[in-house]
Parts: sequence; C-alpha cells; structure tokens
Amino acid sequence: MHQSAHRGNGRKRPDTSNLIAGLFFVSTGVAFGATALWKLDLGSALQMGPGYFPVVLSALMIVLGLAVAASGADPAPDEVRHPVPWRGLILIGTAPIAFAAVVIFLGLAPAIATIVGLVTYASRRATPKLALLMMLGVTALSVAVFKFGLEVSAPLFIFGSGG
Amino acid sequence: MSFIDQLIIGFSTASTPVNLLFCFLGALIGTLIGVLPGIGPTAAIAMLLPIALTLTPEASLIMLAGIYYGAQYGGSTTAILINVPGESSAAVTALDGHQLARQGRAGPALAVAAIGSFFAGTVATLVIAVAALPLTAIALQFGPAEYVGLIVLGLISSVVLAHGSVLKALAILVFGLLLGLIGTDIYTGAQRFTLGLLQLSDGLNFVAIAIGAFGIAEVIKNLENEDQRATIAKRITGLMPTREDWRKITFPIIRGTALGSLLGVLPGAGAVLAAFAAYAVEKKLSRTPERFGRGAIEGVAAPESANNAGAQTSFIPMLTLGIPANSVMALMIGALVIQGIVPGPNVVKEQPALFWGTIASMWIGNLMLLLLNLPLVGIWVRLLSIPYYVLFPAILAFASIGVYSVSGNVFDLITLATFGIGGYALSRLGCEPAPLLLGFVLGPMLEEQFRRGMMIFDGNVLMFVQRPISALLLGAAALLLMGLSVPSIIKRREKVFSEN
Repeated sequence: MHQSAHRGNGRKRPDTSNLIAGLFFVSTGVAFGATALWKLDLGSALQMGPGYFPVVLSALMIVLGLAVAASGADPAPDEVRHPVPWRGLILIGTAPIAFAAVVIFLGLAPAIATIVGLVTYASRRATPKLALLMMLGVTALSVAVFKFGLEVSAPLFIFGSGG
Repeated sequence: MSFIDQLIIGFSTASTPVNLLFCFLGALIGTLIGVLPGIGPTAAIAMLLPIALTLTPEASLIMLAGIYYGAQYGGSTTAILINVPGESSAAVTALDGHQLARQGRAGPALAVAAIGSFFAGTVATLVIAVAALPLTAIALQFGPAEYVGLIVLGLISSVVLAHGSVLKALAILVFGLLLGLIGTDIYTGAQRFTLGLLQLSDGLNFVAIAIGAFGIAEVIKNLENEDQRATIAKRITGLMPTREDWRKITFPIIRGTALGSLLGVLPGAGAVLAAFAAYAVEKKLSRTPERFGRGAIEGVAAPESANNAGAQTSFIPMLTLGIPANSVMALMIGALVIQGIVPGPNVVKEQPALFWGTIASMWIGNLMLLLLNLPLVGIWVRLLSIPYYVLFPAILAFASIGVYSVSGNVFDLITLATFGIGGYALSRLGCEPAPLLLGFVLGPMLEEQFRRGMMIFDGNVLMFVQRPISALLLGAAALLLMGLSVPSIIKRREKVFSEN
C-alpha cells in the first residue's frame, strides 16, 4: 500500500501496455476525427450533419487516449502474465480467412475441414492423427447441424471448371 | 390487460412445443457452457446468434435467455466439485461449496445450489412480471433527453463492470461508439468511414464483432496456458439436504433472492455483485461467522440464489427500456434489432407474446434446469474431462460457419478474424471487450436521440440537464463516474507528489 512499494516496479520490466493502449486510442481517434472533418458535413449544433457526432467522439477518444498513455505503468498485476501464444494467434487469426477463401471456391465441407485442420495445430498437443480425426468429426457434425439442420444456403461442394 | 391475462399469454406462448424445445435447448447449452471452463455465456451466446436468427423472435429470445441463466446453474456445479467457477458469478459459491465437497457433502451442496437458484428464479420471474408494466409506462413518456440520459447511464455502468483501469474502459467504450457509426448516416444518407467499401455501407456486422471479440479472443487467451486444466472426477452420493440443512438455508435463500432481484435491476451491477453482497450479508448475520469458508451451507445457498435472481432481473432494463445491463443483454438487443424489433417500451404493447412469453419461459426454464442438473450431475462432471484441444477447433468452425451463414458475405469473416486478433491484443493491454460491444450497440441510438434532442431544443445542450428525469439519469452517471475515478485520482496525485 505504501508509496515505496509501487516505485520499485518500473525498474524491473517497464510495463508499456498503458503507453501502447494510449497510442492506439489516440491514433484511432485521429483517424476517425480527420476522416470526419475532411469528408463529412459537420452542420451546426441545431442541425447536426453526419460529421458532428463523430468529431465529438474522436476528440473525446484522443483525450482519453492521452490520459491512458500518461497514466504510467499499472501496479503489478496479481496474476502471472503468460507469454503470447504466437502459433495459436497466427493460426486462429488466419483460419476464418482461409475458410472464406475455400468456401467460395470449393464449398462448405472443404472449408470446414480446412479451418479445423489449421486450428487443431494451434495447440501444442496436435498430432496428424488428432488433426485428421478432428477434421472428419467436426466436419460431419457441422454439416449435419448447419446444412441439414438449419439449411444453410452455401453449397457443400463446388466442382470448379478445372475438375 | 390484467396480470392474469399477461401470464396466460406468456405461458401459452412459452409452452408451444417449438418454444419448449428451444427453452430446453437453451437451458441445456447454458448448463454445458457453464460447466466447461474457458467459454463463458457471452461468447457462447455470441456464437449461437447466427442459429438464433433463423428462429422466430420468440424462440430465439427464449433460447438465448435459457443459455444465460442455464450458465448460472452450470457454473456452480464446477465451482462446488472442482473449485473452478465455470462462470464468474459462481466464484463466491466455490468458497464454501468446494469445502463441502471435500467433506463428502458435494451432493447436498449441489442440491442446495439448485434449489436456491430455482426459488430465486421463480421469484425473479414474478418481479419482472410485476415491474414491467409500470416501468414501461414511465418509459413511454420518455423523449430524446431522457433516452440520452438512460443510454449514457447504461454506457457508464458498463465501465463499472469492466475490470481494470477506468480510463481504458472509457476509451474502449468510445471506440465502440465510433465503430457503431460506421455505415450510412440515417438522416442524410452520407457514407461514414466506409473507406469506399460497399460491404461497410450497412455498418460492421454485429455478430462477427461479438463472436470475434468474445469467442475467438477468448480461445486465443486460453491457449496462453494450455496445461492448467486439472480435472478431478468425484463420485456424488446422496443429494438430499438434511433437515438441519433445510433449516439453515431457508432464510439465506429468501434474503439472497431479495438482494439479487434488487441489484440485478441496476444497470451494470448484475449477478456477480449480487452474489458477493449476499455472501457478505449472511456472514454478517450469522451467529457462527467462523464457519464461512469452511463449508457453511448458507454460504452456498445465499449467493446462488442471489446470482440467479440478479441474472434474471437484469432482463428488466433490456425488456422495458431497451437498455442492456450487461454484454449478454447487449447481444440480445442486437438479436432483436436484426430481427426487425426495436427494443424499448413499445415491445410490451406491440409484441406481447414475445415479451410475456420470454418471461414465462424463464420460469419453465428454471424448472427444467432443476430437473436437468440434479439427477444428471454425473454426466456434467464427466464433460469436464473433454480436453480443450478438442473443443476449440470445433468452436472456431462453428463461429466461422455461423458468421458466414448470417449474411453469406465473406467480408464478415475478415471482420471476425480482425476482431478476434484485435480483441485479444486489447485484452493483453488490459482493455476488456464488454464496453466496446455496448458502445457498438448503443452508439447509433445515442446519436439519433442526441441529434433529435438538439433539433427539438434549438441547439441548446443544457436542455438535456434541465429536464428532471434526464438530469437525474445523467447525474447518476456522473456520480458513478466520479465514484470510480476518485481512487485513481488520489493514487495519481500521490504518485506525482512522491516523484517530485
């Protein structure tokens, strides 16, 4: 609780999360604000144009972002901070986009198999056998639920001109 | 329309076979996700939105509500058996519940949790039914100023709910408000922040944002420490509480229910706070407070009743005013809007079957949960042994199919991925996604009412604080905000002082 307890913190490993978060808010605020000022009609307080409210919010966000950035490091968090799971982050982050690409060209069933195969490897426990089983199982289950149960309109398979 | 008529409409809507089925499904899914750690009710409801949207408005709201209160039941099961609250409001239950389990009294602890929850659910259903009409009558008098006040209060309350820094929660809220403005301006038709993309002219897809920021971000977060899950399967023998137990729990259940019903209505407060408050009250009133934390059955009964009552009465602001009290309610509002229903006081008048049907279904759902949870508790416990690496690929697949099936638009999958990664990044920076989602849902409403108000008030902002109800609401929001920031102001002042 006492002051000196807090001050030692910064020396070990400076926590930059407030600074990064603050900069993110400021830059987002600037981007929204500038776009609104440049492209949208502000109008007046009586007859507000489409740009009025966004400009007010952007200004507010910039102020809040500055305050967050200036607030310095938080006192040490109680819970242990784990490292970022990069492999999982990348695989899971790209999986919906891979799904999007496959569903357009090959259809729903291959898209589901693709996403399940990719995402299974986000875990360190993944093995080819597990991935294969998951692909078969989850694809069958999803097709049953979404295609036959809920009658999603996307075609199961698309047979392109190439074959 | 008399009280009895309302209940008749409600129960006849809720007891059609289709609605009963979805009520049951909701309760079942809720129990499931309550039991499984690593996926909370918000993420689950977000992921089931695409399915819910294919149903009638009644069935979808009934199912989503079932998931929400079902999760309260399920969460307490894992709290008691393995000391892992499957859901945040069950954290208090773990204190005494797990101690009871270690003393071999897991059965009665589970039974008391379920009975308390059922009693609370029944009372809270009645509270909603009684409070709904007067509140709607007041809400119908609301003009733009009152709505602005109400929305601001709701938004600020979401900041209270968020953990961590108030400033960051506020900033993330404003970010959500801005994201909500993307798309076509309703007054002028101007394209705002669409970057020239046709796909953005209707705004960002709400379902994709919700699933990304809650579901996918949560999965990535759980991958941070994969090895943490320890599973202990325990055999449960003898569910019935003893006569002594019954005597001990009667009043705690009643007090917990009352406290929960009250706190649940406050926007932002909700079930978690209710559970903590109820536990504290029982400990204070007890003649033997030293038993708390060592397996006092009252310490299970009171918070379980309170969190269930609170979870249910938090529907009141959503159903009567269209203002969500927490992120789950924001999701339900989103679901209603997508189905073409404008949430707010008019819902009672224009959609009586939807309104009363949802309320009646809550009681039916609670009854189903009682039957689901007690005899089948062994099955739920076994679910805990499903490894996470089997669960999350299925979660990702369902999320992607769901988002894609709502619109058939590939762009929404990009939104999903962006908000998944972005949501995780923000949570690493100490920003929670709940205020963002509330801001996104309420942003357009806030702007519309504000612009309308400014037209009516001849551009005089002060009119918003000169009307009594809106002044009261805005005042409450300001007080809340000041109450939140005082400690941090003090801390910062101390800091500046010491560094000088």
